[in-house]
Amino acid sequence: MSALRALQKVVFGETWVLPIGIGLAVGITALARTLEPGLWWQWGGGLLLVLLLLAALWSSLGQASR
Amino acid sequence: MMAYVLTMLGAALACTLEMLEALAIVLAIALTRRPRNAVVGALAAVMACLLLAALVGPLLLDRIAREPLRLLVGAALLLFGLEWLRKAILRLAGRRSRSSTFREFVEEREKLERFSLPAPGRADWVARTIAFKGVLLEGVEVVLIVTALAAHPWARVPALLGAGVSLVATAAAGALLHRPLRRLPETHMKYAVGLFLTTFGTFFTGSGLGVRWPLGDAALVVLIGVYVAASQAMIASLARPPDHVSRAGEEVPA
Repeated sequence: MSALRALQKVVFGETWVLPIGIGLAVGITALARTLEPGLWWQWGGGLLLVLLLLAALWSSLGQASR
Repeated sequence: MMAYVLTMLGAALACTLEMLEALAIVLAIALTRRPRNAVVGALAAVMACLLLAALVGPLLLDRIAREPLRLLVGAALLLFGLEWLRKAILRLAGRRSRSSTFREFVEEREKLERFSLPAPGRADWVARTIAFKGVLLEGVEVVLIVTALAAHPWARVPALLGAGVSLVATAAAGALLHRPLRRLPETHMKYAVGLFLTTFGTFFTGSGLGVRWPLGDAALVVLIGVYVAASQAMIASLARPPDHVSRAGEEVPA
């Protein structure tokens, strides 16, 4: 069991906040593309993704910052 | 060209750091118990990693269509990259102790000294198992990172070249020095790997979702700049004097 737990830590990291945050960032960006698939997407999609990923990173630091 | 160099550098740095950690475990076992058993365990893990690479590589590259592949590879790189970046930010902000393979080496030796050695001529399964597990866990991360970085036809050569050079250099350093390197700026190297992997992860994930990055491959440099600026701001906002960090390297309350 400890080996499996170690393997899970290797793949998903020490906190679940990051995998969930990455999933949400990708999901929200994909949803935004579906809702607004125009010219805006080509320039704004990347920016939205970066901002959401930075929010996920900042959230994962939250426990340590309190 | 830009993407080629960044891919090679990212693969080389990530592999070097993982290999250094694996080397610390193997050297601790070899110096505390019998070297042969450490090598047997490590070689078994290397074989398992090669098998994993042989399975995962072709499965990713040949069976999955281009757009989903980019998304999958990007998400995998983000998982590793953001985790490395998170830990590096906490270390550079003084929230965790700095990364030290040498300290891990010393701790591993202290742990191993508690187990008694088997009679001469008998297999030392404690040494073999610990060497196997240590090398396997670091090796799996190497396989996944290099496979993800090499998932595009143009990226195979730089990713494999970077990984190969770092593997040979780390193994040679271990064989010559018989102890982990003490003075490497490991925390800063891990911070750089986190930046590289997160940048590539963002780029590939965006491409997989249909984003057209302005400037093409040169957008990688812009992305690195954004992540450097944002992570430095996070480090500054979390910064705390080093004496607040516990010896075990855990995060401690303010």
